[in-house]
Parts: sequence; C-alpha cells; structure tokens
Amino acid sequence: MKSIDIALKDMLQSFRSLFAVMFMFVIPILMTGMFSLMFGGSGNDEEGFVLPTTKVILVNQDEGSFAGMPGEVSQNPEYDASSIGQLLTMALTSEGLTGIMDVSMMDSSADARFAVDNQEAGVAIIIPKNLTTSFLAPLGTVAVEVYQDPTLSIGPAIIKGIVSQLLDNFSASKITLAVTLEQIENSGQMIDEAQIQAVVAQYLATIQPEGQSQGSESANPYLDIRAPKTDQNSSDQTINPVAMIMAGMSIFYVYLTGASGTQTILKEEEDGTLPRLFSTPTPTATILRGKFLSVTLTIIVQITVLLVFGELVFKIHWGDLLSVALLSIAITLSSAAFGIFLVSFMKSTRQAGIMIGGVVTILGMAGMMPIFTLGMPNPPAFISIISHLAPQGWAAEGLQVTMSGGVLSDVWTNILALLVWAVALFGIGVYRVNKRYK
Amino acid sequence: MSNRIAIQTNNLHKDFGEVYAVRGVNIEIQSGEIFSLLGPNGAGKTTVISMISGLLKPNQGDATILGHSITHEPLAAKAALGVVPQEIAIYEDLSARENLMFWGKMYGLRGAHLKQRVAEILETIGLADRQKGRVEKFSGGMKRRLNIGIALLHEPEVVIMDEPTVGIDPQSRRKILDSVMELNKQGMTVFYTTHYMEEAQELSDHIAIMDHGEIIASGTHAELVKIVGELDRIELNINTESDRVMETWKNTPGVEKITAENGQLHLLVNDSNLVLPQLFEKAAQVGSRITSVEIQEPNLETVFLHLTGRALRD
Ligand SMILES: Nc1ncnc2c1ncn2[C@@H]1O[C@H](COP(=O)(O)OP(=O)(O)OP(=O)(O)O)[C@@H](O)[C@H]1O
Ligand SMILES: [Mg+2]
Repeated sequence: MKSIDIALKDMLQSFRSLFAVMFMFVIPILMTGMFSLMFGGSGNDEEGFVLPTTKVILVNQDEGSFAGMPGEVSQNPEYDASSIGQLLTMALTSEGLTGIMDVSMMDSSADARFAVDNQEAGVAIIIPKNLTTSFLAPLGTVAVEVYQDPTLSIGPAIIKGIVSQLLDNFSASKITLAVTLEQIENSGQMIDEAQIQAVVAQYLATIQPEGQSQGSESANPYLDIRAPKTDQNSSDQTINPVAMIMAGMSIFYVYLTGASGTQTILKEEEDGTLPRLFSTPTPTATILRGKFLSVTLTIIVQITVLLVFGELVFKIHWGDLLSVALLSIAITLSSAAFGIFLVSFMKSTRQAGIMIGGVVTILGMAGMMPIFTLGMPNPPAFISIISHLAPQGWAAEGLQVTMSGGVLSDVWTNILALLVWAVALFGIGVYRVNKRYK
Repeated sequence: MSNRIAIQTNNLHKDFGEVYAVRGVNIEIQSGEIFSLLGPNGAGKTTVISMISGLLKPNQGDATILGHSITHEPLAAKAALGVVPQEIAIYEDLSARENLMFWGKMYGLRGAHLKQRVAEILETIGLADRQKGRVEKFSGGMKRRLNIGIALLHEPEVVIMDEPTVGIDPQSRRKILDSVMELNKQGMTVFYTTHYMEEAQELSDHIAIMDHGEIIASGTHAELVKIVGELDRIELNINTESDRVMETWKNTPGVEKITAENGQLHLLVNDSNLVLPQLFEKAAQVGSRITSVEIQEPNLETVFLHLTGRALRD
C-alpha cells in the first residue's frame, strides 16, 4: 500500500515535470515526425525505403511462350505469365517496387532509348525477342538490356541490381537444370526436350512463392528481391522507415526514462526526503519497491502513449497485439531494471546526469545499429552481435519482428531475452541499492 | 505527566572514517519534557539525532524510544517518533497539502483521519490558505513550518527537532518557539537541538551541552549555571594588542579564566565589582586602555566558556 503511495507520488512529480514529459513523449514523437517528413510523409506504410523514384521504360519484346507445355505454369492463379518477358514485366511493375521505380511500357526499343537520351526517363529496360526461347534452350544465352541515363547513378544502379537479381533467379534454375541434365545423360538415360521444358517451367513456377515463405507481411511475392544480395532476413526491408524510427526512438527514450526515473532515489537522497522517508515507519524494501513501481508504471504509460500515438498519427502497424503487449511489458521491466542497475553505481545526481546520458546513448546506439544500417545491402555480422549486447537491441529487434508480421512464436526469444536482462539487472541493482541504504 | 522515559541513549558512538562525530553519548529524556541539546556547529548533534531516529547505524550503543530499541524494533520506535530534520526535507514540486497527504500516509494515516489531520496541521502551521500552492514558491519560513508540520501529523508522543529555527527571520522563529511550547503543553515530549543558548534557556526543562562528540554537562538551566558558581562573565575591548594585558590580568585575584577571541577579551571573574577596578589599573600600567566593558549574569554561554575555554558561537 505504502509502495503504491510512493509510486503515485513519484509519478505525480514526473508527469508534472515539463522536463520529464519532454523526454518521455515530446522528443521521441518530434524526432519521428521529423524523420517522417524527411521520408516523404506518413501513412505510406507499404512503401518500403523511400529512395528517389526512377522513371523506367520497359520494352517487352519477348515472343516466346511456355503455354501448352506440360506442367503448365499458368495453373497458379497468381502466376499467369506466359513468358519470361512477362514474368519480368510483372515483377518490375509489382506494387512493392512502385516506390522505387515508375514503370511505363513502350513497344519500340528505339523510342525507349530516345526517351532516356532526352532525359524523359532514367532507365530503359529492353527485353529481347528470344528471351524465353533462349532460356528454355539448355545452352541459350540471355541478354536483357538496361539502357541508362549516364547522369543518374543511384536509381539506375538499383534498377540494374533488381533486373540482374531477377535474371539470376532464372538462370540459377537453368544452371541447376543443366547440371541435372548432364548427370541424367551420364547415367545413360534419354530425356526428350518437352520433358526438359516442363521441368524448367515448373521450376520457374516455384521461384515466385519463395518470397512469401519468408515471413513477409506483404502479398507481393517479389519483395524479397528488392534489396539484391542481402543475406539478412529479407522482411527487414519491408518495414516503413518511419515505423522503425518511431520504434527506435520509443525504445531509446523508454530506457532513458528507466534510468532517469530511478535517479529520483539519488535526488531524494540529496534533498533529504529519502532520509526522511527512512525516519518514518516504512521499511526500506517498501520504499525501494515504490520507486521501482513508479518507474515501471511511468514506462507503461510512456510506451503505451508512444505506440498508440505511432499507430494513430504515423499510421504505424506495430503488429500482433498480444506479441506487442508482451514485448512492451518485457521492455518495461528491463528498462526499469536497467535504471536500478545504473543508478546503483552512481553517487550523486550530478554524476548520474552525465553517466545516464552516456550509457543510455551508447547502449541505445548499439541496440539500434541494425536500424541505422537498414539500407545497407550486406550489414556486417558484428552489428547484429553488438545490438544483442544491449537490451535495447532485443527490444528493437522484437518490434521489428512484430511489425513485419511476426507473431508470439517469432518474438518469444526477444521477450525471454528481455526478461533475462531484467532479472539480471534488477538483481544486481537491488543488491547494491539495498547494501547502500542498509 | 507520566514518569516514563521517552528517549534513552546508551553509549552511542559514531565515526565517519577519521572523524569521530559522537563518542559515548548517554541521554535520558523524560516523557512530557522539553529537552535541549546545545552545542556549537559540528558538535555532533545531528549525528546523535540521526542515530536515535534510525537513519544512521551507531558504531556502538543503542537508543530506545518509549522502550522500543531503534536497532531491534525500528518500526515501532519510528512510529512513536516525529522527526523534524535540520535541512528542510519536503517535495518542492508538490503543494503543501500534497506533501502533508503523502507524509501522513508514510506515517500510516489513511482516509478521513488523514484528511482531518492534514487540515488541522495546515491550521497549526498557518498554511491553510496556501495549501494548494507549490512549495517551491514558499518563503523560507513557510517551508520551515511545513517541515515541522509533517513530523506532527501522526500525533507522535515524542518529537525530535533538529535546529528548526536556523536561518529564518525573528518573527517566524518566535512563532516556532511558541508552537513548540504549545505542543509540549498538550503533552508532547520534545527533543530539541540548537546552538542558540537563548532558545535552550527559554524552552527547556533539561539541557545537555555537547562539544566534540561528547556531552560535557547536563541538567536544568539552574543546575548548569551553578557549575560556574557565582562567576560573572565580562567582555572587554582594549585599544592595544591583548597579549601583555592578558599576561598581567591573569594573576589578578578573582580572575578565573581569560580568553581572547576576535580581538575581544572574555573573562570569568568571581565578583566583577571587585575585579573591574583592578583590571583598569593593571591595563594602564602596561599602557593600555579599556575601551568598552560588558558584564553578564551567568548563563549557558558562561558555562560553555567555563567548560571549554571557547565561546558557544564562533
Ligand atoms: N556523513 C558524514 N560524513 C562525514 N562526516 C560527517 C558526516 N556527518 C557529519 N559528519 C561530521 O561529524 C561531525 C558532527 O556533525 P553533526 O552534523 O552531527 O554536527 P551538528 O552538531 O549537528 O552541527 P550543526 O550545528 O552544524 O548542525 C562534524 O565534524 C561533521 O563534519
Ligand atoms: Mg546539525
């Protein structure tokens, strides 16, 4: 009962403090707002990383077809392309890429090149007549032309990457097939051409659904090829950057609240109100429990406000409600424990002010590193390792997972890790604080 | 008034590393009395109080409040006690009322009783019309009164006040002294520390004088004054260096003690009427002239000077 009174008193003080409220709510929201403006508005939560949109002219001259072949690919309703040229066209005009490229179709390759020369478009992609035929022929060669405006660099480079990734997927199937055929032939069996073509067609049919099996929330199966050569979980790439910033900001400032909320112990010690509390018939444990409770409740309020605000104003979908709720609780407990741990090493509010700022920033940065490097095609492995050395890293990753459609079974390791952090930090912190006020 | 013992300390010791703040303090305070602990800055008064109220663990010894040991039954002891800390300890960002409500809860008060006590205390400390105001906007005197009020909420049998009048205007000081006496009249035992001998003299039934961590004398005001017997205290100024004058005065019959402080000479003498003419004469013999003289009746200041050779106020 008395610990609740202490908690309520503390919360009254912190919510009354303009300074505390600034750091709890205003700054994280403002920062997100700024980023959201930089990234071109909120609400585009389907949009992926907002890179400069490149105007692309696509010329599909592919005349080949796998129609009428055994194991017909068009049986798949999502997959009604009848040539590789059409497949490529579908992929390049897919919704997931609309943020990156603005594709328009043309019939003539000369017109397309002319448009690029006149800077009406950044890139022309010209799919040759014989693409499907040559692809289906075991030894055929494939050449899709990417004609680009030499003054542009980023946009065309991305487009090139996408096209070559798409073609890689196709030729990978071809190589596999070639090797298989060779082995079959070596074993002395004969296969007729129709059979080979059927195998190719079936293989192509399987390429597509792969994108969906990777936990992506998006219905678009081609999203996984948007960041070529990424060896990370491709679902990272589908999260709205504003959402990631908001998640990062929220986590950063939640841990700051944990530390600065617990710091009121030091302030009360200096102001004489803590000794005065000790002079009342209130056990030390009750007083410390009240402090922990107040920090915990404050953070719950903070995290709820930030998440709801993000949802309503920035249109961020945090994901599965149960997972997000449990994750928030784990984040709350670990950040309050983090506060007690940190403050148990501080002697004065002066010292704490400097140390808390430093430690929260360093750990926050470490934990957020995967967010900062989201745009990197191949983030080095140490980034993931470092981020997991801070509870902030587990928290950020957890939200990242729920935002990209993860459910409890996907985030329970993060929840568990945060709880382990909480128990460890709480244990050490409480032991030290108890010793001090014994 | 009962004959119970309100506060008893038993050989309290406390050191802070090199500093021996309290060395073997034994105090006994009867229920219903005002007991003052008088001593200069750094004597160890606050350290004694901190040990009695359970904020500091003694290195040795124990204290009891109404028979409850502060080390073995801290909660019972603390419940019987109201403590007014020397440094104002209130929440500046809360209102007077919010402070009282919170501290009342910490003393175990709840509901209607709490509200009633808060209202009563607000009247007592004269802050009823400012109860909704944030404490940070209060004057020093108002804060001091609130600081005291908090300790009285739970109607403790014993209240400890550590220099409650430090740093405030004479008017507020007067109010506080009056309220201490009023509380005592209502039956509250008061343990009061101060370095103003006038306060100790005016308020107390019993006084202990503390210096360098030890109680150097204790008793009623009359008993303490008797220590210096019929000695008078003389304060003098002379127009030359004091060394030669002190040398000649030292051997004058009737002069018990002589000290110099800040250019002023303090003497304890048997009978100022007999001694003073000789002092004038001897000063003249060494070429000095007395420029001012003040004769004081024996008081606690005299006692402190007599026992320590120093003035109470530095
Ligand atoms: N926490 C502490 N750490 C180190 N030394 C201390 C501490 N508290 C008090 N002291 C020292 O102990 C001695 C007694 O201090 P204390 O505060 O008890 O004196 P006091 O009689 O209350 O003085 P004042 O009239 O100035 O309040 C002083 O020398 C002081 O410097
Ligand atoms: Mg003191």
